[in-house]
Amino acid sequence: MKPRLLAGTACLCILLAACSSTVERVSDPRTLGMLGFLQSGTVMRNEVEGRMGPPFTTYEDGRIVTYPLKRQGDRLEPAPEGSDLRLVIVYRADGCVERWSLVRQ
Amino acid sequence: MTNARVWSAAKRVGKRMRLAGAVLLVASVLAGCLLPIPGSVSGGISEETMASIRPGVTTRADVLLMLADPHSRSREDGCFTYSWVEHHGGAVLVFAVPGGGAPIAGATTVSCHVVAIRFSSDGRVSETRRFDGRVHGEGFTLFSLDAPAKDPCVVDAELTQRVQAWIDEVPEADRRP
Repeated sequence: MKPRLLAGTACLCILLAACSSTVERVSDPRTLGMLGFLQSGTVMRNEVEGRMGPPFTTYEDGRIVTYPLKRQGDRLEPAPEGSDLRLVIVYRADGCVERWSLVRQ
Repeated sequence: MTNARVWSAAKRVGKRMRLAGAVLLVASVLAGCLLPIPGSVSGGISEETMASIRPGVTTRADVLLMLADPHSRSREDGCFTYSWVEHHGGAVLVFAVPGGGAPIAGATTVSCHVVAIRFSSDGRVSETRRFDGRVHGEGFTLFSLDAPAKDPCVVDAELTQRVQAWIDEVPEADRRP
């Protein structure tokens, strides 16, 4: 098949593929397992930042932080560009992880 | 046969060829080369999620844990907005040309939607509102598919104004010193 025809056909397939997606929390255990070190109530902020680096966005004076993540093989890595996954972490006043979630935007 | 007769016959053949081309083009469109594009939504906020955001109960942290980063934040995070684009569908015209090309042209209709969430000074949700933008057409060709698409949420100035007006109307109870 000629390249332009192939490209046209590929575009058509994309156009014809009906899809609907909403923002939702990721619940797939395998994906969540890639962030297994995030144990609420035990992991501290410095340990998170040691693994993930500084947060991408902060709220409420840094009590809530987010990281854009991208799947790299069997790992989730911080990736500011081209990511549809956001890790949201809420810290307690003592710097311990209180709650977290992984959201697909 | 004189030159004039030959010329006249050639013109007639040319006209017929053009007519045949037009008929072929129309026939190809009618033969199924005009294909529908189904509607799609990406990154929308479901009604179920909206219902779970309860004024006076849900906190800013709860919202972020559910929806992650907003598309815009107002001063002191008093308001978050989340926006998404809905493609309502359309049609695409595909026609093959000699040499294997397959130019594509089409049109779709799109609209922007915004959910705005207002927080009170204690960090709890005080109000939520959904805004639906106007549905407008968008044309494209195979050659313009690589061009950066205009963001329907930016193009819809009327929607932007409505959302901003709502954000600016801070209720008395939520006014900060």
